[in-house]
Amino acid sequence: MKVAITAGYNNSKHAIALIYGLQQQGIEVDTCLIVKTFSLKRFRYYYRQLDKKELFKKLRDRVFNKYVDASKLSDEIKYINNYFKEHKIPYSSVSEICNKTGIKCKVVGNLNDPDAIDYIKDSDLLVYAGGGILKQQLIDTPKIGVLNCHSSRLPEIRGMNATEWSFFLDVPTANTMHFIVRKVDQGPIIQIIDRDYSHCISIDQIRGQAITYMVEDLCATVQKIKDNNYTTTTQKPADGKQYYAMHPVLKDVVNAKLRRLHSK
Amino acid sequence: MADKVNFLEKEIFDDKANRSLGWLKRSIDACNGNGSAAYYSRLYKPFSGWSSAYPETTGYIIETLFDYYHQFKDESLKEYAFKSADWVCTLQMDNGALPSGLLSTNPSPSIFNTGQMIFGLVRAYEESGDDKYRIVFEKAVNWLVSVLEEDGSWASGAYKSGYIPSYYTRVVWPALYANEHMKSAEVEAAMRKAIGYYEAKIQENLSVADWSFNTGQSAFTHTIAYTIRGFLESAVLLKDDDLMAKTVQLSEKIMRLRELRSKISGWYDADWKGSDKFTCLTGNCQLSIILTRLYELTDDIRYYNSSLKIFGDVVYKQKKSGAVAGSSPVWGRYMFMRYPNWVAKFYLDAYLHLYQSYTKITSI
Repeated sequence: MKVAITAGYNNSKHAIALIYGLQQQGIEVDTCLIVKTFSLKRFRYYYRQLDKKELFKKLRDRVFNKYVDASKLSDEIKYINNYFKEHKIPYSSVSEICNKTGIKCKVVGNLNDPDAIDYIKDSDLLVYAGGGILKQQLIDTPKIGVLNCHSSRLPEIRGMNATEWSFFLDVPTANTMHFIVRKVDQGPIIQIIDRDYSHCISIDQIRGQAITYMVEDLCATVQKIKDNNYTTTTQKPADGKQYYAMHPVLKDVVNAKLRRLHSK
Repeated sequence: MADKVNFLEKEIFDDKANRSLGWLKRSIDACNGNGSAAYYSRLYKPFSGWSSAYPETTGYIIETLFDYYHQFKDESLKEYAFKSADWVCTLQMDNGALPSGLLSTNPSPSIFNTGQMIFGLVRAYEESGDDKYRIVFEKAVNWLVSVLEEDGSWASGAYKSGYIPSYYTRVVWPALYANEHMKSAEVEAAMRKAIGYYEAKIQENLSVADWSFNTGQSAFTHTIAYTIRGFLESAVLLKDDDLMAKTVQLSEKIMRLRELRSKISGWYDADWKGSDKFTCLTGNCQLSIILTRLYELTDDIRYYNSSLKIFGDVVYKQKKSGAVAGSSPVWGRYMFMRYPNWVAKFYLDAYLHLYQSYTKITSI
């Protein structure tokens, strides 16, 4: 099985850990598409979506983390840093792990660009580890499909900030492994894996923990697909609701709830 | 850009709400208690800054004053509300209509303005039990019914002669609201017919034909929100599930627009192409109210989440005086260089709806 991976940016620890984890399992990663870290479109998107503090945090944690004192990084990044230490992952960029382990890799402006699609045309499975919205042509290219990990229970909670919404709505936390279709989080479900966040006392910690859970669950699901040991359940559009990015006021409510739960 | 400060904290809410309430009271003082000045602008009114009183918006500002009287237990707000309602009563024409435009010596009957003033009159009646308000709003509602056309439209008493705007849904709503007290089958039947006329104008792309001020013009979010709110509250009062389902679709369209662009444009054409050159601040406040109302009605937090974002885009646009401009920037196309009284009103209404829901959410 030829496995390809997407990476949202070259320093994506999530993507590095995923490639490393798959290799440790004996699964050969054949191809990797890395989305260009800096683009005006991406910057404009984040500038509109986030306040200055959050934008700064994102840049510090994800792009310039090498140059920042580890104690100053947010909780969100600490989990994946610890994961790197525990698993002795020696790579600092996606291109580095690709080059050193013989994975074909290409930096693209957008995953839907024709040259990106052409680059993965021989792949059986594309594992999504970030990089933006996928269009139909890309989704249709890998023979088996595009695998995604959605960080809540589907079909109940679709869309953004899914773990935060799970906490807000008291829906049990889980990762849903599914194939991507054009409609957001509505693709066939492979498996739902319960995940425990009871040790987390903030959204930052939840988001950090979610990244490592996601790496583990993607690795386990790719194995199932490789072994042809899986079935899928289809979803109907009306089975769930799509949630948008959570407003900071509601994030504060979730943070307060987490602190309350933790103190009990 | 989204703002991270929690504008629903009590101190911030109290401060900002009291500023705008103070400004609204000054708009009434500027007219010696005879209505609320339509706007403040040193460009249009270089000397005092205040315009003449605006009967239409004075009518619905009454509700806001009562709401905040209950919120803050500030007796002066109740006094301003009753004083304004008494003044509105003096404006009624012999046929029951209430007047168009700013206060003038030669008023003409207005469908839309009559509807807006009914809001304040019904509320003054509910707060006082005084029949003097009931007599006026009943006569006004009966006039609205009497001039309704066979097809359910209102062709006379228009803002623009010959143009029947879809935001007249916001006339159906106050008539139905008044009818909660009148209990008239005739009024209910007439308003069912009227809302059906505008419901038929909902397009497949979830735009509504004629929801702008002029034929063929893009619609400010102000009139878009007037239209949707009229549908929403009429659906509630008529217990019309089909209309409610359509209203939810219209509202969810607004939510998607805010998510995709991270802002709401000042106006939209029939294909939902917006202008990013300005934001219609009152439109944002009104859209926020619609979404918070949907949250109140359905308990679906997604509506509240989007309402927070849409109001969050305008909450800090308030001046220290409490005034809120028509547009951001103030030279934008909606109410160019003016601080209208209805923007302060909808700002206060949106803020109170969000704050009261927030209090419930955080108390669980």
